[in-house]
Amino acid sequence: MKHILLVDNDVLFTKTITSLLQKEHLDVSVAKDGKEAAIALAAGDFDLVITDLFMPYSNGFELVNTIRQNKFTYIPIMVVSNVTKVQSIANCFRLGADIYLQKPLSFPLLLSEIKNLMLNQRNVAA
Amino acid sequence: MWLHKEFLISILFGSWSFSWDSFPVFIKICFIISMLALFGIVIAMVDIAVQRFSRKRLEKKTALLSVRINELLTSAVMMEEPAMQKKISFVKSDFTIDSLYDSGIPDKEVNKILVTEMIRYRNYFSGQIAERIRKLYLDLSLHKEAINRLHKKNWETKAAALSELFKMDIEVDPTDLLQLVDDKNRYIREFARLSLIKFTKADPLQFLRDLSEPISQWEEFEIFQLFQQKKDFTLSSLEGLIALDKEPSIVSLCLKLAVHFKQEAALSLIINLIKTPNLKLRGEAIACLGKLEAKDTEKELVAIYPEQPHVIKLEILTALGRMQSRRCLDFLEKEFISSSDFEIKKYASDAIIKLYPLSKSTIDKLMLNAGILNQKILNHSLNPLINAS
Repeated sequence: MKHILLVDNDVLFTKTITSLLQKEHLDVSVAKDGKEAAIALAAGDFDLVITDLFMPYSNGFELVNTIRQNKFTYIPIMVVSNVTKVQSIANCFRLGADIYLQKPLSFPLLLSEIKNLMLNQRNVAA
Repeated sequence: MWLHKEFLISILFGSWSFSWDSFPVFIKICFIISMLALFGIVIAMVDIAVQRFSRKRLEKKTALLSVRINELLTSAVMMEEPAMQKKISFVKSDFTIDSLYDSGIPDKEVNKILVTEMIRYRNYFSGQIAERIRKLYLDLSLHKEAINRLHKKNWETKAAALSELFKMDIEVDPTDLLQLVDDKNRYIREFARLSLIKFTKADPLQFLRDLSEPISQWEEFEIFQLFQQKKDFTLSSLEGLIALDKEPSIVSLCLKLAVHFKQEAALSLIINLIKTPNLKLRGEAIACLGKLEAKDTEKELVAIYPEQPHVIKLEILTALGRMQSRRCLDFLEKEFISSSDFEIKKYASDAIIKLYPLSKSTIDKLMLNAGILNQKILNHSLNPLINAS
């Protein structure tokens, strides 16, 4: 079963996404901020990280940067946020995010992008 | 000293009537006022304490209720499609909506939290999930309450109701909205205008024709964003909206809409605006002509150029560059070479480069014959990494 790390400080969002992804036979772990996510990443093995941008303590930009600085593994990163500022979105990609999805989110789109990213990861690994 | 002693004795032995009568009237009045003030303070403090206690209790209950509502909404979202179609009976039994109202929190407060959470959901999710939340909102008849609140006197209540209906995608009767588009309160005004644009298909700009008040920049931004998202509508004629006698902020918005929706039919209206004494609007109109590539207006722009102020001259040069026509190349070349103003030279050079490949021979000629400064400016404009306006 594929393991996803979902990083967002909003319980309503994480709960819903977790339930929806679990229905699709995906295993989801939740972290409230970048700091918690970094700890989870060090401890576990994840196939994808889905993160928000604005969270307390350590934000999404820092998290993307941290993941990309650790060159030992390649984890696809999906940023999901309500940020519309082009510079912020460009900054995500510059730091190493693979895809940016805008809230409000369409779940079928999210799911198809998750599948795409995982497929790409498998191709990269191969 | 003797009086003081007697006074103390009178207090100690309770002969109040004697001591009270012996005081002058103004002392008595001051005493009564002090006592009343003290009493008032005690009452106010007790009231504050009681209110704080009950608010804390309500907050605790509300927090618990929010969690339950979230769970409920999540389960509503997770439901399979056929089950969702069963409407209220299903909602009441399976979602245990009724139990929310038994939590000791006033029904109004419960509804408020429910709607807040629903809106939060819709801010996070679009598509089917958002539609399910909207359906639940309708099934629980929460929209009826919001529509009733539209007729209340309090502006905050009205604005909140409008915002709620707008965010939940509930269509409001246009006659109700038209009464509110010119409201004194700007929040009510804004939400009413936005709702009208969102839900009117035939002529979403109709209300702009009746407006005499300026629209704020934020409103302009929101209206423009709504139009960008709107799909099933036709932009009506901009006649009467792009006019010299119309409020400049409305004209400015319409110019942006004309460019976005490529309204070439509005060109004759836009060209009239170059006579406006309002420099900002004149500049916007010229920029609009450029963006719409109105080649027929080239001659007119070149004709008015000499008597225009500096900012407008720059707008004209940019517009000419956008028009993709070689007719104005000589004019641009002349401005580039003969002008002593650096900015004019730079804008003319940008315009010439924008006209490439039509301007290829002119560029080659200038690169050979122009002076060092002119060549540097041209090279700067030719650099693809520098974004020319």
